[in-house]
Amino acid sequence: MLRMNIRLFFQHARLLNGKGLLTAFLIASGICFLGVSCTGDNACKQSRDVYLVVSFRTTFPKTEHDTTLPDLTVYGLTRSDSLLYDSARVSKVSLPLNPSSDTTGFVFSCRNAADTFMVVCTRQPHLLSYECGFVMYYRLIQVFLRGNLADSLRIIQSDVTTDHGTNIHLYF
Amino acid sequence: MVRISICIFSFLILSCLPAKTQKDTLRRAWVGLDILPFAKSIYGSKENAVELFGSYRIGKNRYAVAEGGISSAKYDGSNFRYASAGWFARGGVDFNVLGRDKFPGNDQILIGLRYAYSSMHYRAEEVQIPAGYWPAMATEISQVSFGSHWLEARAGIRAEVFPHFFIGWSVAGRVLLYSGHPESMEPYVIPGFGNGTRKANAGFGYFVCLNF
Repeated sequence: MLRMNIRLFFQHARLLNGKGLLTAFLIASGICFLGVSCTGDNACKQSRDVYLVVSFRTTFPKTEHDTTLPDLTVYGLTRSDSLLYDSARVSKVSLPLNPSSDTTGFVFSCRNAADTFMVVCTRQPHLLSYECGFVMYYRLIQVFLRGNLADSLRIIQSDVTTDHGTNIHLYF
Repeated sequence: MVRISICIFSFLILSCLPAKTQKDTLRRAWVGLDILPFAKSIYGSKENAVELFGSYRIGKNRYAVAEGGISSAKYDGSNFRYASAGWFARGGVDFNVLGRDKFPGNDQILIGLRYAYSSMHYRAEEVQIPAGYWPAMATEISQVSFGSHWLEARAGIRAEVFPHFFIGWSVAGRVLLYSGHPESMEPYVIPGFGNGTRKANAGFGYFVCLNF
């Protein structure tokens, strides 16, 4: 069937204006493929935000479940002048890690209790896409907690990327 | 707009070609050059490439084909500068599906298969992670070398413009089998394959060649 179509195509082309036109026709038809090729859209349509997501959990009274802190303030360890959360009622927090350092510290305070939350990680610049450019991805190595607010923590997902899934469970 | 202007310009030139008498006078070997990359570079393509090919008749309608070339690319992103360079080679067979008994002459319709390999290196400079809560930082991705390989299906036309001088085009469907690039950065272009952020690509070639 394909051979038959090709044969008819060439016969029609030759009838038009001699055999030289066939050559021109074939080549011109090839060039016209260029006109139907796709053009790209250079807008970035992905999230470029990379956050360490910490969810709050409790085992009180028996089974483990999500919990909410009623009056939580969070800021970077050397950035007490710039609050990430200010007396917020939240069940999880999204924390930006420092792209210039393998260690980032945060202070969690709630009413009369406070914790210093230290994150040790490796960093890897990651090309999100050619439209969106580079962001910094992190891999958690260790997380320390000092203070009297939370009881313990558990690393759930060590890769900190743009997917915004929970990385750490913080237990109260 | 650029592509439309290329199309119109080429059509005008080709319409002026003289008619010719077609005889079956094919010789066994072919060498050719893909001229589409030159046209693209005139219009400011981010990729510069040179591609040559050779084929040799190994049967009544069969040709062994070898292709190769070099390519380099530059891309200025929103927060980085990218550069890459490399080479590629393809090998395979073409089949002429235009029956000589019904269509005497040297024009050909070719379909074929290729296996291809590319070796390239890339790097990214002036990578700026923008300031958010923490200050911005500058870094770079140092040069990395890696290989890629893929399979390619090809279809095209080769038409004799003057005795033993041919011009033609081909379309290709390419499926990437493997690319050894680091996970943190996909290549902008894989030489000979095209867009390095995709697992499958369509390609187009527009070539001139000699039969000898």
